[in-house]
Amino acid sequence: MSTVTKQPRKAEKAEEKAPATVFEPSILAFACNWCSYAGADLAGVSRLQYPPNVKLIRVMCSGRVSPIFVLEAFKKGADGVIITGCHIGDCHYQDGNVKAETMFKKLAEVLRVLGVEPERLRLEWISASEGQRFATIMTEFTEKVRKLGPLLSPEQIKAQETGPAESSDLKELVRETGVYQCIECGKCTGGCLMARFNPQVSPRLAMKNFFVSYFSHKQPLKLLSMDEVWYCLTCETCHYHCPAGVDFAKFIVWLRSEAIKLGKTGTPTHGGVMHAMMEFQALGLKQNRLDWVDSSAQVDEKSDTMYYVGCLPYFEPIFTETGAHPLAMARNTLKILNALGIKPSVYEGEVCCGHDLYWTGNIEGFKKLAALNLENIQKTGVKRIIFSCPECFYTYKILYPQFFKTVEVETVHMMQLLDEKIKKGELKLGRLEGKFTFQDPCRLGRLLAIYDEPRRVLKSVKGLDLQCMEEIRKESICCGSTHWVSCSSYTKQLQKYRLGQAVDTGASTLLTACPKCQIHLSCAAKDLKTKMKIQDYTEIIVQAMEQA
Amino acid sequence: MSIQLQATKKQDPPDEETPRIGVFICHCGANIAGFVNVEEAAKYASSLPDVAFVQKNLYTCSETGLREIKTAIKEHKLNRVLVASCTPRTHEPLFKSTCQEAGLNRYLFELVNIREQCSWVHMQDPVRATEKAKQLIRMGVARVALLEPRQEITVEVTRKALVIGGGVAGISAALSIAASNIPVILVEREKELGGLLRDVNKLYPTLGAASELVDEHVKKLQKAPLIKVMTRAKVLNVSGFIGNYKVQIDSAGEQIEDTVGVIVVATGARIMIPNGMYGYDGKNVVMQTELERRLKDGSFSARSVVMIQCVGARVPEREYCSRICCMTAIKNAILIRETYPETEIFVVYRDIQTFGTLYEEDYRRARELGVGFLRYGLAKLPAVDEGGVTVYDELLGKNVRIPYELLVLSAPLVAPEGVTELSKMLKVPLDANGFYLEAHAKLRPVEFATDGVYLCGCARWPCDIGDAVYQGRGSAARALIPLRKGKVYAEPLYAEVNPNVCRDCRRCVESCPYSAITTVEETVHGYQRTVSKVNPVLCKGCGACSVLCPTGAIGMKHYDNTLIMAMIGKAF
Repeated sequence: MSTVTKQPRKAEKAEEKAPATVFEPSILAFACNWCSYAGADLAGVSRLQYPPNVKLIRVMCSGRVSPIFVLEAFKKGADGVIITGCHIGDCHYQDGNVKAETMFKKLAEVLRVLGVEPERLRLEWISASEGQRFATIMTEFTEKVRKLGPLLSPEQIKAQETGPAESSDLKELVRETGVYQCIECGKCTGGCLMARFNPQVSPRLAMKNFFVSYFSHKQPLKLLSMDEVWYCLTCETCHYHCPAGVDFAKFIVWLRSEAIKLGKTGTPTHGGVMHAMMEFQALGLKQNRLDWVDSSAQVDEKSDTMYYVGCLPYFEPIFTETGAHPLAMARNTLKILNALGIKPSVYEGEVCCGHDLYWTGNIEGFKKLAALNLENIQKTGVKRIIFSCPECFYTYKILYPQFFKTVEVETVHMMQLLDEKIKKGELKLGRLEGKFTFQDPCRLGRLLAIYDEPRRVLKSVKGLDLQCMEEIRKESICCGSTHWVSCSSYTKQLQKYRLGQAVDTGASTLLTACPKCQIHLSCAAKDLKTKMKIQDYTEIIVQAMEQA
Repeated sequence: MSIQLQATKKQDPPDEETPRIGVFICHCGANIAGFVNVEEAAKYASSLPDVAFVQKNLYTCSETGLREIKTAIKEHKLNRVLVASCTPRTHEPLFKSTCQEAGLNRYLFELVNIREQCSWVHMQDPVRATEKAKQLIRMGVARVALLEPRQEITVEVTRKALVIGGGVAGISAALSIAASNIPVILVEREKELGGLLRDVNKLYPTLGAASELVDEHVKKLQKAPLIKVMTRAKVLNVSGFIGNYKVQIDSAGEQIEDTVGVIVVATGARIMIPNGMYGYDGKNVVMQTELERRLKDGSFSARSVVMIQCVGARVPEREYCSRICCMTAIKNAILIRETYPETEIFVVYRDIQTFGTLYEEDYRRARELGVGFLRYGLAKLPAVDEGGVTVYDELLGKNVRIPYELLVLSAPLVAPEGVTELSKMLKVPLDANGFYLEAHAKLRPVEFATDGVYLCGCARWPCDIGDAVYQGRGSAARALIPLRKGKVYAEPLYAEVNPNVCRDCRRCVESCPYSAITTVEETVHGYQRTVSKVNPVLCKGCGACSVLCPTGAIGMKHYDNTLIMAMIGKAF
């Protein structure tokens, strides 16, 4: 036991000091085990002083620092995050630091768009012999972040805490989704796209397991495997097939929100960055989400029409390596709108619509974002919102009214607008030769029954040969992921199957109308080395406009 | 769905026990207690969730301190231990063993560094140093509560080695390994052993006959019963990992299969044929090897010789220095001047690289013997006509024409055929020039990053006979470590793939520097799928694959996202 009972003199003295009034930033440092952590140790052994603001987490390699760690740190109250590793060429694991650098660049861009000043994130190489360098960098970084001030206010941090989980009204849910109407015919499983490739998935069985768990054990999730809860694509093919009208996708959302309460989250893709980035947008930081707007684009802050861009500026840095260009969709949409004589507003204060959070059962997160968007509508006084993303469109049109009764604004998807304007002859399109095929996005198609508009729009381009894939419209096959969970060998099979159908049409390009279809099918096409070109339909429209 | 990214909810520990954490805070004499209020930190620690016991120690690492930990584990039924003291780099093994001695799994331990990274670096501000120590302990408690028990991985090593390549490097490696009583299979592609050495007349700097050296080595091989020499042989397939490589070899049509513990790559190099350069025809314009052959069999008769150095070396398409050509040219020039004193010799060079003591001596000797040296630059290459070479002498600043009867070209060593095939088989990398890339030129020479595979000689980069022998012996010394131990131990800190969410994109496979990840085909509920699988023995636990994985399928044992996220959650 301790024999030191008396406080050392130095400590006593310090306690008498008046409380500091200067801002003390919270700095989180990640250090690789082999170089930088040892460098920090050397700083200690050499008694080199640096501010106590810095707290260090040891990882084996700087390449281990997942972007989600950094996002989480900023969300939880870090004012600055520094990642440290071995110098290039000295990595204990060959090139882990090079991997860290690649990750860092992408992450820095996402954080910049989110509104986190670039100076708050830093990457430094510090060797085991550079104790002085460690102390100097930490001191300098702390002072720099001190000048920037706090990233989040204590209120913003506190607002993220969720209270005790509400117990959901099960009876209401059962009534709303109609699961009790299930006649166990199995058509849902027969039609289920996931079940085609993953024999472990069965909507019918999931519902049955739910009922048995609920009535026999009073624990709704007891007999459900997490596979059943998290593999669902929420494409609603089952809903379309069901003769009893069971809304299985909605039921899944409920199951997921219950699973989260039990700590059983699914496996988010991309290290969970997508969901974290969406939640981050609810914190109220001033984002930099409009840098992509070209100087030639005509936008009008006071316009009563708003173009709702969605998460495209975030997808861009993350997915360029798949060959997808999510921001091209935004630029093209603006070009088309301008050509139609519309000068829309694009709003810096826009936040994610919350689609993905809703479908992963994070209802609280969804509601926060939705509330911010609805507040923005009031603030800006817009009368009409135009969407390029089918998911945002669906969320505004269908989900917001379910949670908030008043959404008094006209919502239009680009496909609808184009269809109307082309019919009226208000958009001149030139000739464009080529064989194409079209992927119905589930949110636009099965969920909103917008099937004819895209076809009419594309066919209005002279010379464009639009071929039909085997399964289209209500039967259309999902791109493999709608809300960044459960990407697997099964979804890859699904994508392979879909791309095969596209190839069979003889088309050289598969046109998509949803950024996720574009991203996931581009990734699959690259992965499977198919020659099918994946392109957003707005690119074709813009090309046709230029030919006019 | 075992990977959980959100750390907001705590996972139940796998042993179904509620964590009972013991926190031991070290004073380290006055090193910690002089600046951190240990009393206050201890009080704070006892308020943290799952903490069942808190104790302050004067020196936790002392006999008394360690005994106190052991006693507390037993008396307070602790199932997790956290020590807040100094750096894990020095003291973690000691505390882990202490836990183990008290019957607690050694991986249910966490060390929080409140000395090197707190008391010693915040000496002027004890109040905030105490505050930071409390936060670090809080983060550590969050982590230790989620730790799972683990077992160290042990793999038996097959006491047998495969050496690929029967040149002087490979032979040296084989002899050294066999000298330690370990059986060796030596595979040579050609009919005869000796590799490039067989084309050499005399060796620099001793001027001994190369054939004698070959004979001597072959004789030694014949006397080594533990070495099985296979000529006209080829490695067809390699699978497995350190200690357990399954190899398939074809020897003159006969196929054998065997298991070896380690593999030494000594596949050597070949000399680039300077086709289309400086009028190369193999008669009057020849390579150094042809000159060596003529000197050896006495058919050499030229009265004037010009040698051009760096033919196809240190040029944009082949930037490296072949390392042996300067000394080869100087050696042959000396031999000619000594045997045929009337023959005039000019060496047309870009830079002469005769490093070390003995080689520089030879250069001086060649000059003394009247060998002429003319320097050219890349901007103006020597021009060859029938009977003469025109060199723009950079030092004189004018063209000089030297007549020749024999023009000798010094062409570089290049990677031999089949390296790509073998590198894929062994899953080891090649550099841009097709030479094998070792783990680290200074920290881990003659070794690949992949455990159990070593390299030596010209397979690595051009080297001369002396270097090949050094490297052969060096690689053998490294290979003998696992071979002699008979076992390989690996810390159970490795990546693990959740096959249910792996989509076989192979980003992890391609990025792993240790070839620890491969893909396997499996059948689940009658459905075929290909997924990645990590070999825990080869995995070094860097965790980069888990960050690269687009589907979130890869978790890291002992450093999982859940654990790090839990620490981040408690950092502020």
